[in-house]
Amino acid sequence: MSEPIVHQTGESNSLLYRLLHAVCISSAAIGGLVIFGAAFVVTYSVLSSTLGFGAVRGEFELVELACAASASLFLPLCQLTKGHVMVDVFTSKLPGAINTTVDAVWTLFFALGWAYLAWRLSVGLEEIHGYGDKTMLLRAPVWWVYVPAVFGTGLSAIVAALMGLSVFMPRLIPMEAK
Amino acid sequence: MDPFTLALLLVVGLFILIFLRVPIALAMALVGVFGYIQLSSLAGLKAYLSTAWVDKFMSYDLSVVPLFILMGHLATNSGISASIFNAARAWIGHLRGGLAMAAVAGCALFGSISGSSLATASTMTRVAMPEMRKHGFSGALSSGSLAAGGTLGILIPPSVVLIIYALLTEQNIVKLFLAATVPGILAVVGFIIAISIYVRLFPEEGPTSERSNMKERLLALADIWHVMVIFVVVLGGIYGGFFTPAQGAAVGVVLTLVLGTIKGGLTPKTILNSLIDTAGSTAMIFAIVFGADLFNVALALSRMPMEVAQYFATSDIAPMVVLLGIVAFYLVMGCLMDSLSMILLTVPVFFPTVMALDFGMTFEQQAMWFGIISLVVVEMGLITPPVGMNLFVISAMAKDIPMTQIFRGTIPFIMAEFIRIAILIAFPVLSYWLVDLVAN
Amino acid sequence: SNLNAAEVTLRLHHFLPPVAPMQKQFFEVWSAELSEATNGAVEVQIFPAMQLGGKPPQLADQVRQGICDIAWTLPVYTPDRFPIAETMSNPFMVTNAEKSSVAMHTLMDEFGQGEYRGIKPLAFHTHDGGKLHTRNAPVLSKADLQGLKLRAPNQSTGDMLTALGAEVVFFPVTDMVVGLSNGVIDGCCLPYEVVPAFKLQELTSYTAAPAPASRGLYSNTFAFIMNEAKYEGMSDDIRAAVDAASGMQLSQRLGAQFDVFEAGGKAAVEAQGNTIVEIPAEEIASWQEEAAPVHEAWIEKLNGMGHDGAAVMARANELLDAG
Ligand code: NA
Ligand code: NA
Repeated sequence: MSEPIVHQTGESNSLLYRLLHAVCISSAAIGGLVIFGAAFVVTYSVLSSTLGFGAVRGEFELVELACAASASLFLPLCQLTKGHVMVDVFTSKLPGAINTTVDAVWTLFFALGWAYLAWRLSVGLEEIHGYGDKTMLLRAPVWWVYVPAVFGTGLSAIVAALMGLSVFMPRLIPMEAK
Repeated sequence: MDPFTLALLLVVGLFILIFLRVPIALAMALVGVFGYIQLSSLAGLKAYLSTAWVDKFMSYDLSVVPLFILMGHLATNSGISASIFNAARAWIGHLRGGLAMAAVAGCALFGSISGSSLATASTMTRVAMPEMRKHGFSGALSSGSLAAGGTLGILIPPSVVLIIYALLTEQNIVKLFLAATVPGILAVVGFIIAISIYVRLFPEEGPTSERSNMKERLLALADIWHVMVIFVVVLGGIYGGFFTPAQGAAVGVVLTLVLGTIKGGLTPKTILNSLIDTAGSTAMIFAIVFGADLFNVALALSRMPMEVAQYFATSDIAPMVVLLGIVAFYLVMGCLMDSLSMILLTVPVFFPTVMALDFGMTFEQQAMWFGIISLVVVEMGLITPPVGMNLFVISAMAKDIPMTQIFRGTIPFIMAEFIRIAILIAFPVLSYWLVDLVAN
Repeated sequence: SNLNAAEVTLRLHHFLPPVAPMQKQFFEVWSAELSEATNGAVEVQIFPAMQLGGKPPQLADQVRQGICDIAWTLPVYTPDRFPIAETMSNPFMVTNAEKSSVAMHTLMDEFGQGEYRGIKPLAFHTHDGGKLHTRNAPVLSKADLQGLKLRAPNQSTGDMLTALGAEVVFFPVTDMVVGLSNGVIDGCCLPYEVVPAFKLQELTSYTAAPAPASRGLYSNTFAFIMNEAKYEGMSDDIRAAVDAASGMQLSQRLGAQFDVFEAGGKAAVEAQGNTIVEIPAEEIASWQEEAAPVHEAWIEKLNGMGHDGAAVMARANELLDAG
C-alpha cells in the first residue's frame, strides 16, 4: 500500500482480473462514501447542536449501520489485493514455488470460509427480515445491512476461489499474466 | 477432553497455523470455529454465524477505526501528515537516528487527536517510512519505531481501550484519560531513548541526516498550522463540551478534508484514492477483529482465561507477586490476542483480585494505577510477535521489509516498554498524581 | 472443577460488567441456589459482558437458538418483537420495582403468552422509575426543562421529554458519561440504580425525583429467559427445581432486588452531597397529560399487532394502581 491500490492494475493483467478489480474497487469506493457520509452527518449534527438547532436524531445508529455496511463492502478488494496479512518469518527461506502453493491452499480455505459465512448471512437476512427488526431510534429496518454483508462475503468467496484455483490451473483461470 | 486442555490445544493450534503461513484472520477463525464446535455445538455455531458478522460491525466503538484511518489517509494525501513529520524532522532529524525519533514524535502528535493505534501506525508509516528508507535507515529500525510509535495512538488519550476499562471497572473515564497522560509522555521519552541507544550500537542502521537551519525550522513549524487547527478544534471540542471523543473522529475527518483541500493536496482523485486505501486497511483489520472474536468466544467457552485469573485470585501469594503474575500473563497472552478482547476477558476477574490486595493506596488511586498498567501491558501486545496488529499494518504497507526484520526491529522498543512497566509499577504515584492535582 | 462434573451445565449470558451488583447479588446467588437445590446436578456458568459474542439485542435469539441457555435481556432492544413485554417501558408506567415487576408478570401471563415462542421465560421485571440527574440546576417544573439537553434512555421517554420542551439526545452510555463530564449534555434520565456504575454522582450535582405517590418517569423492562428445548430435555427433578426457582416469585424477587439497588444508588448520590429535589405530584400529573399522545400511539401499535391495546393499557394501569 505504499503505492495506492488503484494503480496496481496493469495492462499485463488478465481480463478476468481487471473485471474483478473493477467490481471490487467500486464496492470499496461505495463503502468509503458510506463512511464519508456518516462523518458528514455526525459533523452536521454536532454543528447543529452547538448552534442550538438540536442534534440529528439517531445519528449514532446511522454511524453503526454505516460501519457494518462498509465493513462488508471493503472486504472483496482486500481479498483481491492479497491484503490479509500473514507471518512469513518461519517460511521465508523456503523456495518461492512452495510458498506460492501453500498460499494458494490457504486462499482456497478463505474461499470456503467466506462462502460459508455468505450462506449463513443469507439465512440471517431472511430471519431478520422475517422478524422485521428495527433499530431503536431511527426505526430503520436492520435487514438491509445484511444485503451488503451477503454481497461482500459472497464476492470475497468468488475472488478467493478464483485466485486460489488460478495457481493450480493458470491457463483455465488466468488471474495475473506476469 | 476437558475444556481447559482443549483451550491450551487451541492456543498451540493457533501458533502452528500461523507458522504455516495461514493469514492471521483465517487462522484465528479456523481455530475459533473448531473450539466453538467442540465446546458448544455445530448448531450453535451455525446460528451464531448467521448474525455475528453484522452484529460485530454494527458498532459505534468500531466505527472509529475506519473514521480514524480515513482521516489518516486524507491527512497523508493532502500533505498534512508529511508536514507533521517534516516539522519533527527539522528540529531533531539531524541527531543520530533523528528521523526515527521524528517518526515517534509525529506519532505522538497524531495520537493526541486519534484514539486508534492502528490508524496512527498506518498514517505515520505512509509518510515517514519512505523518508527513513531513502535516508538509509534499516527496515528493522524504521518499522520498529513506527510500530512502537503507533501504540501512542492508544497510550496518549483519547483512547478506546481506556474507555472499555472504565466501563468494566466503573471508573471515571475523564479521570482515567488524565491519569494516562504522564505515562504516555514517559512512553515517548522511552522510545526516543531506545532509538538513541540502538543507533549507537548499530550506527549503520540509523544514519544522521542534514541539519536544518533556524529559518527552515520555523517554516516547517509554520507549515503545521493545519494540524494545529485540527488539534485545537478536536481537543478543544472534546474538552470544551461541544462533542464527545467518538464524534471527534467524524469531525476530524471533515476538518481534514476541508483543510487538505485548502492546502491543495486534495483533489477528487486523491479523495477517491483515500477512500479506497481506507477500504484496504479497514478490511484487513476488521477481518482479524472477526477472526479474533471467534477465537475469543471459544476461549471464553472453555473458561480458561477465567480459571487462570481465578487461580491468582484465590492463591495466598504476596500482593506484588500476584500483580507481577498478572502482568506476565498479559504479556504472554498479548503475543496472541488483540488488546480489546484481552481486557474484556480478564479485567473482570483481575480487577477485583488486584483491588482486594493492599498496596497502600486509596481505592480510586489503585484502580487507576492498575488501569494504566493493564493498558500498557495489553498495548505491548500490538508490537509483540507473532500476533501484533501494528506489525501487520506496517507489513501490509511496506511489503519489501521481511517480517523477520520487522520482528527484530521491535526488540529495543519492547525493552523500553519493559523498563516503563517496571517504573510504573514501582512508582504508582506517576499514574495518579495528575488526577489528584487537577480533579480532586 | 471437573471432579464432580454436573449433569447439566447451563450457560448464562448477560451484558453487564461482572463488577455490577447484578452479577454478585443476583446471578451468582441464584446460580448457587439452583445448584444446591439439585444437589450439584446443575452447574450455571455465568458469562458477563457479552463474552459469548454478539450484542445485547441478540440475547433473546441466542437463547432461542441455543447459543446460550439462559439470558437476561431487555425487550426494548428489539422494538416491536415483544410488545406486551415492552408496554411497561412507556413513560409513567411504573411505581416501585417490586410492584411494577409483579404487575408486568401478571400482564405477561394474561396477554403475552404468545410472545416468547421457543423460549421459556423464567421471570419478568422492571427497575424503579427514572430520575432526572442534572449538572447545573435541579428540575422542579416544566419550565426547568425548556432547552435542557437531556440524554434519553429510550425512544418513548425521548418523545415524552421532547414534548415537555427538553432538547433530547440519544447518546450511548460511554458518550453519555463523557458528555456529562464536559458539558455536551446537561443531564440524563436514569434510575438511581445505575448511578454508581457510571459515577453519575460525580458528574451531576442535582437529582429530581417524582413525589413518592406519583408514577415513575419511565422504566425499562427485563426478561430472564431460558432455551425451551434445554428445559424440556432435563430430568423431571431438575425441571422441578428450575420451576421452583422461577416464575412469579422470581419476578417479585428481582423487582425487590432492584429496589435494593435503587436505595444503594440513592445513598451514593447522598454521600456525594448532591442536592435531591422532589417534583411535586401535581407537576407530574400535568406531565402525564402531555405524555398522553405517547400512550395513545402505543395503544394503536398494540392494536396493529393483533392485541386489544386499550385493554392491555387499562389492565396495566389497574395493576399498578392496585394496593
Ligand atoms: Na490517542
Ligand atoms: Na502481540
